[in-house]
Amino acid sequence: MDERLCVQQVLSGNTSAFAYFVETYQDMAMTIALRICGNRQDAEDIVQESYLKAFRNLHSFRSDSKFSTWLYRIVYNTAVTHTRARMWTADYGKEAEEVPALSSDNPELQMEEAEKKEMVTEILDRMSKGDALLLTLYYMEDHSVKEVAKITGLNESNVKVKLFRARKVFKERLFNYLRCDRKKCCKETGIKNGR
Amino acid sequence: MEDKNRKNNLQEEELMRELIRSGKTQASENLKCRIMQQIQTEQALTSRTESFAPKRQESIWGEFKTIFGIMYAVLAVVAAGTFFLKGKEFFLSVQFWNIVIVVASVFSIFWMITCLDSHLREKKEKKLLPKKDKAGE
Repeated sequence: MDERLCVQQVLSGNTSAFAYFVETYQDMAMTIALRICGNRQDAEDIVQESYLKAFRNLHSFRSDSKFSTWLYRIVYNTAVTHTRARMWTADYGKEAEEVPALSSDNPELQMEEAEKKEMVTEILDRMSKGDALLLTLYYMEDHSVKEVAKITGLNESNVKVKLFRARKVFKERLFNYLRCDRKKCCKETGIKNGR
Repeated sequence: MEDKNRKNNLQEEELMRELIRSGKTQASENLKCRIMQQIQTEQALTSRTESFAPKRQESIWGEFKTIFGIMYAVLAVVAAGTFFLKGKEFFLSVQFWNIVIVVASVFSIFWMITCLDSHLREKKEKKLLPKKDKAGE
């Protein structure tokens, strides 16, 4: 669907056309809000408030950028204001409170997916909010560095540097996580064999 | 060697992308309904205030016409009464012009109070409506 046309429809009074934007971007908006505030209930409130702001100010949306970039910038600002979070300092997030969603019919695949999701969420939650958000924005929807810079308000070179560091930290944590997991697994097997 | 490194980097990037994508949060099912409901309520409220504005303008103009219409009617009655009771000379006296000024002042003050009342009511109604925020701030 052509987003410009959709924007025009909403501006001309067809409010229900806005549902397209809600349906298309709500998951990513939710992910961004959750990365910043760390709590599902607050994240939902932030997303709702952000969509309302976007609707009220849709007339000020210039089509030179993607609608998603504009919307995520609003979500980012609303979340930062809401939580009064300091995004670019090295504070570390909370433990994950997310319940992994299962999407496939195959139980083994479901388990694998759930485990993978849990692992990624845990690693990102233990990283600084800013780093986790940058990785989410860059990899989850293939945003370019320029778009990530627009959303976060950082300059492009700053994004590149932070992204490089975040990637490194993520890899290290992933490695540690997998090593710990293997150790735990070996211990469990050892106990079972001992019995 | 360089090619191998580049290939490894690409594979690593792909793996990162796949991993991070698996951590995407799903919005709850009722979130979309909540958002759309709030937007539709807001839209309904906005269109109601927009339809109120011209009505208010019309009502102020209507009050203006009514009040000053009555004032001119009263002045005409006073002028006719004095003409028939006291004659043409009374029109040139200070006493007659004092009566005209008093009547005009009373009606003008009445109109001013009406305008003030309508302005205050409008302000109160605006306060009751949700405030508009700027996006991205």
